[in-house]
Amino acid sequence: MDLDNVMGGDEADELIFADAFEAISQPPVPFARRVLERLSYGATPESLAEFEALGGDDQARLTAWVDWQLNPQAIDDSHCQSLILSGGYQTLDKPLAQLWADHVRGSMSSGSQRYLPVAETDAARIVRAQSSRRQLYEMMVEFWHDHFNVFGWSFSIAPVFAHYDRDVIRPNALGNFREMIELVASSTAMLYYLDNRSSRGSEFNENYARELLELHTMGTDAYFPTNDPGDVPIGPDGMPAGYSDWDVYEAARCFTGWTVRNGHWHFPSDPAYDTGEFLYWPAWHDVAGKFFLGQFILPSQPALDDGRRVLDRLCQHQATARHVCAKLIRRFVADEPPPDLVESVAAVFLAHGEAPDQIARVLRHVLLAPEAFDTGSGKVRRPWELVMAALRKTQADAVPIPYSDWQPWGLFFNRLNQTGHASFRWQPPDGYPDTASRWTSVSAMGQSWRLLSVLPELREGSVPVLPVVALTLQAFPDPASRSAAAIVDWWLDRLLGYSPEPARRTRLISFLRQNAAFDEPLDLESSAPDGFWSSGNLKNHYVQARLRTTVALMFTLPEFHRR
Amino acid sequence: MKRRTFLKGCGAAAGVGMLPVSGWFNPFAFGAGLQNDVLVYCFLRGGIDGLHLLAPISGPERFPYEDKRQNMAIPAGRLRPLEGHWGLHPRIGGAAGDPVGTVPKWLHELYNQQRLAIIQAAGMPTVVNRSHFDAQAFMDLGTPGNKSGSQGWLARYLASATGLPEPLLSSAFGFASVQPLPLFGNDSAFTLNSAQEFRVDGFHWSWNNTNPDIAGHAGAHHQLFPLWLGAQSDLVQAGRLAAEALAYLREIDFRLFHPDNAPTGYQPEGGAQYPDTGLGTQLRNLAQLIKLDAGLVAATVDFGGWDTHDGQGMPDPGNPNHFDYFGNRIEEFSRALHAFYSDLAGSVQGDFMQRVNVVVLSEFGRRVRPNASSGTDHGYGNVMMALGGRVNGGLHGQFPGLDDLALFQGQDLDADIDYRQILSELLVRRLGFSASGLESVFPGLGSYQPVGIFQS
Repeated sequence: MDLDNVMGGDEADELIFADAFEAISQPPVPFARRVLERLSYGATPESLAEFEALGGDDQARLTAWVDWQLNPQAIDDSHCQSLILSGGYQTLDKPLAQLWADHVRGSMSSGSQRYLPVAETDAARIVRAQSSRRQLYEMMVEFWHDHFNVFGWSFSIAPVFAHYDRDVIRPNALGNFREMIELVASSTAMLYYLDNRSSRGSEFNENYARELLELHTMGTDAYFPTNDPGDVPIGPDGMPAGYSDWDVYEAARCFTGWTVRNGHWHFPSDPAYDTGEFLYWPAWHDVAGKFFLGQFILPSQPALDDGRRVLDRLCQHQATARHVCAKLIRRFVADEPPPDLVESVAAVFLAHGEAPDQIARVLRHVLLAPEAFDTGSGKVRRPWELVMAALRKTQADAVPIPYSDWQPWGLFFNRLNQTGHASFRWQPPDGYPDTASRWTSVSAMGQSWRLLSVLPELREGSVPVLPVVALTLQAFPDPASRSAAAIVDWWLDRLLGYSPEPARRTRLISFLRQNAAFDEPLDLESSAPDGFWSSGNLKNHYVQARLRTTVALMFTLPEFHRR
Repeated sequence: MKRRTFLKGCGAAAGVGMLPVSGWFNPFAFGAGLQNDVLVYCFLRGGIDGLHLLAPISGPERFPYEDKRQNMAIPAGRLRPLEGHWGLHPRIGGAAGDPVGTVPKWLHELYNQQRLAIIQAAGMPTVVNRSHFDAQAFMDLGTPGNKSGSQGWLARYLASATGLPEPLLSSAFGFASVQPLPLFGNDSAFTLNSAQEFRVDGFHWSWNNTNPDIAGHAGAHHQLFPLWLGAQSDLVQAGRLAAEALAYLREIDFRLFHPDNAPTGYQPEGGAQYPDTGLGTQLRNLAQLIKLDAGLVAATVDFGGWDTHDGQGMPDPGNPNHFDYFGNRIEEFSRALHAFYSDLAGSVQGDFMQRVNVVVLSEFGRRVRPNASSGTDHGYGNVMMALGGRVNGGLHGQFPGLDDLALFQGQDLDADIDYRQILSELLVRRLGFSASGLESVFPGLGSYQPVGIFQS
């Protein structure tokens, strides 16, 4: 074994053992790049051109771009939509009752057919991240899936997951928080995930209520672990400053009877009670009076009223505004949200609680804050985002087909799962983490590279999923211009927009050129699709394959991991 | 020994031609072994029917067993008898074609050698939950009743233990495709579905591995580590660590030895015959990692397929053609764990099982009465198992009883022994963890009550 070789030879040795680390010096990233790497799944030549055309200076362009993106319906997205159509997905448009009839009760309720609704939602999500022009909207959809996390691949939720994504999360991703949270509370997916479907009367199940307060609204920062609501101080707005276990139990009682038409034996034996849709079942509701967050709720209120009062009260609370806004800032600005920014954004959240575009307003305030695009935010791409950036920046136009052959999509999803960040697979209710430290573990990075290394090798039939060679030939029509240095610089510009640390650029060029001179053209066209076997002369050895490998290596660069 | 020191030493050794010649790569050929105890947390996902694994063969529980289990009651003549009134499912100790009178194999053999403990009436006495997800989350996070924590019990243990060895690779390995819940919140644990698959090997074959036929040819994975050299930042440090780990693990040949196809592969010792299945491979990989003696403290292994609502199966020992779902499953499990034990106990490096401790558990047992589909629905109390050279073998715990009054909620075996007490005992007696610190691993555990499974 030659570990020198394993770790990259003498050069690596010297750098490791001499502790000769260079001073931290991040190359300047152009402003448009900073914005688009952060607010989209990856800057592309097209999205950069769109951005640059929007105004006279950085701030004007940013403002115009954000306003354009905050109105997604007005953005023509026909290319992405036609890609999704080309996937032939069967379940994405099925109404909830149809999903239930087919995938829970019907002939598609077992094996992979049962999981088709979540699998196709997963595939469509990839197409959208890669190809939609409504990038900010798609990032917000991801944000809310993390915030209102359900385990989409579970046996109960998989068959109805297309409904959760389409009718619960997506319609309000830039809309009104209060509206969205009631859709979540009454969604089949959440009613199963956090058990509220079986919460009834005095045997209430507190699972949903606890997560509603702890994760969806006020956050643990506002939790007072006591059974006595009198122990919670009153805040400047006259509301209790936080919640106690008492409030959790009272909230749980308020939501008793919010359940699913799932054919439970208490319900009439009528097909109308087995549709998978929401049901308020009064017999299971605890009608006694409640005392929640400092307010009495009188006994025997009209149907659904108790739960709605809980949601109203929560959505008006400072703690909810701070908790939700801090998470938004964490998603788009920095892992540690600046407290001043949290306060000012929370004020916008509360001031527009009734507005149909409350979330868009809040987001606009975040993104136009002066500190939003300071350099060195420390945000990194999570594994799924790394893969999306690779697809997007290489203009892959991929349309993944779940449960198809191993090559390419079986292999792709298999390796994506190994990263720990495949879609809708996070089991606990807190959603995928959003800080760098959670996604820079050995496993997450190693498994991400494992997938990134194979991306340029994926083929549908004979067509590569990533058109690496085709893009290169298009950029360098003249064979005499195809030197390793020129090709590496072109790809670095496309993928990063700036030159990485010089030693990294040099290493990439060295790998691509092998024993060719820096400015010597490489033979990219011989013997498609991989190049020639060459035993003696490395510069002629499988040149196309080497080019694809060089691009795959660029996907693993530190600079590519930064967002 | 720190990673960087090792790297340096290893590079120097390679430079003077001291290439390791053994089948497996032992970085500590250059240093002393760490000799620390290892904990293996083996979870039978899906809720194994413990009453199908260990059943009353005679005595006062036999009648209520036959009465309530009806067509799911294993006839006394088909069980492999243990002491007292108990019998094991025959496939734990033999293949389908082995009559119950044949010499016990695998886990039954280890049971007879006092190396396997079976604990009855175990589970989560503090909560009742019949959802797989919830019950598994409660157990894995070590917080019965709460599934929302962001730290698993093993992560908390690793965070609060003092004096852990400095690992060459990682203190903890989770054998799973996504980070397993017990290790949640530990960012240095390796999550590997199989050790072979933790490899950056997707580049085109012509540039994937170094080609010795072409002078100067270097595989693309050699480029990863150098690409992460340079200016320090949290991200760059983390990436360098990942690149290092990939480079190290790549040097270990995790394939099973074969004279032609895998001449540098791993050779199990002690006559171990790992089944060629996911579980068998994971345990083989784990044994190989343990033998590196490189600071591995904890590992998780999952073995699912126990949610037998339908067609659970009935053994017919001696009939090789008889299909028995549960029997096939338990035989695979028994073979794999036995191979793991034999491999480690029979090593030329010494008896590793003196410091390797396996604990086996499942989220809940199953309903005593079978359902209409020759299966069993979700229940409550269950058996746990422990395997190791320092385990007090045999039966432990008080069988909760099968008569109507003894059943939990009139339907399930009861749970008396908190599974956390078994894990606590392992931590305290084998890993030297302070009993007074258990609250930091299992919040709300209450007093430490060892059952007597592990030897100090």
